[in-house]
Amino acid sequence: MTAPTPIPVSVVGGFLGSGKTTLLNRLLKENDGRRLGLIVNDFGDINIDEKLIVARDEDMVSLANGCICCSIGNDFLRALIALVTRSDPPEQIIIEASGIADPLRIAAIARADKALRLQGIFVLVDATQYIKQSADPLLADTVSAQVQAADLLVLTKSDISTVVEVDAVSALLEKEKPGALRVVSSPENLPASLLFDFADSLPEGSDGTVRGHAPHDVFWTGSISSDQVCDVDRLKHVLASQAGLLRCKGIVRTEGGVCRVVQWVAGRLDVTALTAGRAHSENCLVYIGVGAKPEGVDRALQAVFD
Amino acid sequence: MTTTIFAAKRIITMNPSRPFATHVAVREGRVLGVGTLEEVSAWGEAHLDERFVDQVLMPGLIEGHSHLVEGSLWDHVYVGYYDRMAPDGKVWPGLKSVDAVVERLQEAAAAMDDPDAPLIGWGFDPIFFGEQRMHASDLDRVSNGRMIGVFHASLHFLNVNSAVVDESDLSASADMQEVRTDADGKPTGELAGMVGMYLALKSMKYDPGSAATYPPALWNFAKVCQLAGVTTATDLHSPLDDEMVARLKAETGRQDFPLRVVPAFGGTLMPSDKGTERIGALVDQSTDKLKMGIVKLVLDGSIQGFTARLKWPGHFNGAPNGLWYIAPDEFKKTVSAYNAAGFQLHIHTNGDEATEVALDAIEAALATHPHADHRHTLQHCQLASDAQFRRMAALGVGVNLFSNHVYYWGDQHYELTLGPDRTHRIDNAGSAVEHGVDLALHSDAPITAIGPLFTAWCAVNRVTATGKRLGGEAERLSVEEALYTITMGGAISLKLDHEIGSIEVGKLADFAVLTDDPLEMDPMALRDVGVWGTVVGGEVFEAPKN
Repeated sequence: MTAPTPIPVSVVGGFLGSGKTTLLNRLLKENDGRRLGLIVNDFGDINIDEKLIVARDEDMVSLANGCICCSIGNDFLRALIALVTRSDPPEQIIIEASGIADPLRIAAIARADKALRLQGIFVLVDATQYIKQSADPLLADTVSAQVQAADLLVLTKSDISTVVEVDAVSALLEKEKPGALRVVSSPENLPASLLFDFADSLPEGSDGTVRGHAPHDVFWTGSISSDQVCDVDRLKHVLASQAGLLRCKGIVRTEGGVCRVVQWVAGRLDVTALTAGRAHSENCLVYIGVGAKPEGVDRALQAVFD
Repeated sequence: MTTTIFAAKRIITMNPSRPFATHVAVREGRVLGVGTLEEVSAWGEAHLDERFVDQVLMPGLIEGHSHLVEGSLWDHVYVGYYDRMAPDGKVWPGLKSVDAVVERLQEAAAAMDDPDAPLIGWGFDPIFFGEQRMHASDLDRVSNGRMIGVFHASLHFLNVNSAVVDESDLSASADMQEVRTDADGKPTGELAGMVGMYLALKSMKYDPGSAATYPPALWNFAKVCQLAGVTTATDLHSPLDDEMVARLKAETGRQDFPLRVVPAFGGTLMPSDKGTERIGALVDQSTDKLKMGIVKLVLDGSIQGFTARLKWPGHFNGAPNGLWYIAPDEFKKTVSAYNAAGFQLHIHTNGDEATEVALDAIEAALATHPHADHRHTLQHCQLASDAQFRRMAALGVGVNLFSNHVYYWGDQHYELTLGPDRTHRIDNAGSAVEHGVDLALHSDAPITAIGPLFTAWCAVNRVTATGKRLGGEAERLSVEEALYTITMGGAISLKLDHEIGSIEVGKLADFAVLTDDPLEMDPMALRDVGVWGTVVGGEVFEAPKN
């Protein structure tokens, strides 16, 4: 018996008012049939279209567009377990961390349970408030822990802040977490594909730049394929040295001809068994990053297959 | 209309106009008269009950900060360091080594019918074993097929056997701080934080929070209270959803249920506009044995877990400051909403920074919505400074201190968390009395065992487990003060002092029946006072003998 494919989990963190709810509302609205499990702090904050509700109880609402929304209600852990242990578990889970939570501690659950796979920690930072928050002795360590936890920092509210403010927050974040991946984007403009598993959200063979509506939120993507055996150790090394690389996923043939799934998120490489019965393209990698696409990234990745 | 007169060796009433008596007359579940036989007989025909002539009666003891979870834990195996009395009165001896824990679990496993059922232990505390930690291989000696989970006393840590480590493939996440590893980087089976609780819930289907919807756990809780002389106890953080309220009503409504239960609504479980509505709707559903209306808020974590919010200079061992459980600004709004709606707040603050934020929030809330008798109460409040007690007094804020900490964790606070100086000021009941702050004391069961007489002993003696005496003389309560605090003090903090807390005409006939007189004992022996049982609303509940 093959173990079921782990459910990818994205964690959305950030202090109160940073735009988490806006982002979740958007995912809820845009979902088109994908079985998406959303865990939110409170139903009261999100816009659930009553006409779409197909089933509900106190802490869980199922929508006609495939979304299953859980409110943390009494207990976050029970909400998550209720979602994971459903007879029709979601294909993708997105967890909204509370405004004071350390998203890393929530992400730890996704890493500890082999039925789940941590796909990324996205931390929203309010560009108009962050400097004040990080100078507040009561809050400084809380917001700093959130920043430290992030795989990707998203500076929000840039539309109501000055360029100087955004630059100052960027500089502060760079000081707090040097080299951290960072974009400026409103929650409305953040590509939803970022929060989802790659397999069906990143067009295969695409190579170029994904642009949102805001001038700053620039992502680059790429993909390669090969018919050779992949050197996984080398792959890890190459991935780690690409500036701005956020995620990479693919199926590669390893030594001895065994095909494995590789997942790379902000420094962590997971190599797992291939689930049987799923159509897949063999020996291809897709990836996404922020900032300017590094010179030669495609070539370097191509070279790990020999 | 029957009247019963209970005769006792001595009755300590806590009523200043009649502090001691020998007889108490009870009618319709309430105290009809207190005095000599002659005095109480003046009410007319009565049945004289002399079974307590060799016992001492006190007002039923009040546990102002406990949790119903205590009741659900007794379905599982107690493996703590200290002796602990089960609901059936059996004393489970404390276990002083990992081997002893394994042995007790082996006995429990041998008695289980279902070979696949998970085995759960609780109350484990490796802090007493120095460098030695429990390892999955230790628990594998119990069984490596059956899943085994052993909760630490805090419930924030869990040790599991290899069956759980393998099932969860924990070696793949061994780099996380939640997963303790050995020298080879392999998981030892000790898990921290939400990860441990998640795996317990998911893999072992064990849910310690299910007490509320599980009647036997409610009864276990009530019996543990009864054995300690407690007649009123809180469940100090409850969702109070429809199912839970129905269960509580059904069980507490039975005449043979030996406890009054005061659940506190978890005020941040829903937005405060909805929360005030829910608790508001429940107030009128209260009965004599189920009192609803108080609200609990949790602001920070615990000192021993390094999650309390401390002021400068922070943790003695350099650990980072603790966690807010609610953002300070959100907390202020929440306090303001419940205060404006007229509800009494019980606010968990452990560190002095959290206490300061709580006092600021209450001060601001009262400035816009003053209530002469709000009785908002700080719970635990273990590190309050003299200045903070002065603010409490000025604001009319009460305090319910976690005096058991002095004994159980005083040494750890001295060595690790707070250092010598601040440890002397933990749970400084003397300061509360000195400043005229309404004072109660608690166990926070299941974190420590329910036993107000033990808690009183802690506040009177301020001695740690290794025998270190904390604080100056001024922080120690007299035995009289401590006994007042575990009766009237508790009643005042729950705004129930018109109903319980003293043996006084018109109040509910709730008594603790003691086999020793606490006022005639050496203060160091206060914790050894024997409890025969309780009387609740005139019904006699003898503790099981084991």
